[in-house]
Amino acid sequence: MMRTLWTAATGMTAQQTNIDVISNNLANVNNAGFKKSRALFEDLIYQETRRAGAITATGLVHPTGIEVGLGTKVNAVEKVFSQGNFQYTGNTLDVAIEGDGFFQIQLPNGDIGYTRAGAFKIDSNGNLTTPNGYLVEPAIAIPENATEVSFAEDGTVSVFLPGEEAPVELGVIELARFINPSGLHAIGKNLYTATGSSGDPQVGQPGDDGFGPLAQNILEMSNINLVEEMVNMITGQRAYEINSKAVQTGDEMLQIVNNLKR
Amino acid sequence: MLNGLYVATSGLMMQEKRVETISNNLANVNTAGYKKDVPVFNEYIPHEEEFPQDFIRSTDYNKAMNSTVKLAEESTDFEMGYIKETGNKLDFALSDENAFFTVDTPYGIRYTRAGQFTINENNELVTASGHPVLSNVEEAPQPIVLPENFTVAEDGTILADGAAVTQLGIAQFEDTENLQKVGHNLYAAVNTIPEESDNPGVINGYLEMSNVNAVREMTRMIEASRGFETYQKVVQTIDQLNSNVINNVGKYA
Repeated sequence: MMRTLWTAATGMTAQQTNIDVISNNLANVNNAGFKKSRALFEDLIYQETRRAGAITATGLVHPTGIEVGLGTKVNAVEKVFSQGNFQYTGNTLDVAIEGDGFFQIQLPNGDIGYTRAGAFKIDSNGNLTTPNGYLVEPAIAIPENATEVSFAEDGTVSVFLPGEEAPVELGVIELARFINPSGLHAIGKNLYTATGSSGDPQVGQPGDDGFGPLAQNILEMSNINLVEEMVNMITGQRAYEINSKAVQTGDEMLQIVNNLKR
Repeated sequence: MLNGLYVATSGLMMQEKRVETISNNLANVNTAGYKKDVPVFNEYIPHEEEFPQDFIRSTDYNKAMNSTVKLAEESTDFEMGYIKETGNKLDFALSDENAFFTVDTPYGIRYTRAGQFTINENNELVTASGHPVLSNVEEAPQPIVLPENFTVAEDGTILADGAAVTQLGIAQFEDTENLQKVGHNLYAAVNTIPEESDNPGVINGYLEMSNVNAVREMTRMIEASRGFETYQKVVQTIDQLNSNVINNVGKYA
């Protein structure tokens, strides 16, 4: 009897996590470069009261066993790295990656972070940074008197200087790729760090084999599909509710047992 | 006198088992690839072979008055679940309901319908728990390394630029009765050898959801819990009768 209560409780807990994940997706719906997550479930172990193939007292073989399942659990919350929508912003420092790859960002602790959000800014020293002020890696320093910063498809950054006819190249933005992006660790601020399961970053130039080219004046928005998230939220909420009914049923039955002895 | 009490008690226990199974089905209402369990009950009649010393139990009277009910089996219903489009490149669904993906676990080969796969650090296709999904290369199934920009054919062949690279190992069971649930969305094959599926109908970018029908399970839940209540009344009534016999029969007026 108590099994019912606990089994239904696992269902409620799992759906709670599901709704948490969906809420986070919805909260970031207008967040450039955000990638949605999804919760994956699996059934828990089964308690065997009789094994399939057991021999009965009369020497017959039971074709099937008796196993009662003990509920469900969340076995992964994975990031889905599908392409988000592109939005033309007209902002010179907005850069999107059309395909695979991540911008490399220097984190304050000296590690390298990875992001898809190419909404860059220029700090007081002229360095190209994220909105949080973290430097882009490799560092690009833009001279004070420069006009018209341009990002080429292959990652080359160039500017026009006063009195110069030809554009001056400042450097190349390199991208990193991962075998298993879903294994990246999200640290917030639209940044990810490499883990054992993401594999080591392969660094290369935009537009090269496997790397997407850059597109200036364009931002990649979040890859959230609102309709899908809302439907998932409804199913998650209803699943939560139905499991609460199972808890209630278990509770009522316990009450009945308590009333057996008047 | 007490026979009825035992019959009613076996009924109570039967409804309890039903509710437990239904709870597990409901807990997995959103678990991809989950197949619902259906408890099957039968009448329990002790007979001579089982109790040779106790021949009285096999009398006709006994069969009529003393048959309790017991859980005979938990059968899994392998009906198709709803196939949902996810658009995720690493989601696979099987449109043939007897087909299963083969998965390598530390305990041996297991089978699953939950095609929500991901890639590990060696670029191998793995389940969400990290068990490699196997190819169907004869004699020696291997983990699958996905090529760039792959496409998947209906028979599970994985193509890169139109050329076949490998094939998902998809097993098919004539008789799904011998598949035993072992948790983690996996099944173990008990005393049965799978064949290679001839027409699994693999679709990429789709997931098969749980085949639990919430309305039906909820109805069963109500039925079981009310049945439980009914047996409680039976137990109480018999208890009342016994109480009368013990306390009132032979009382001096």
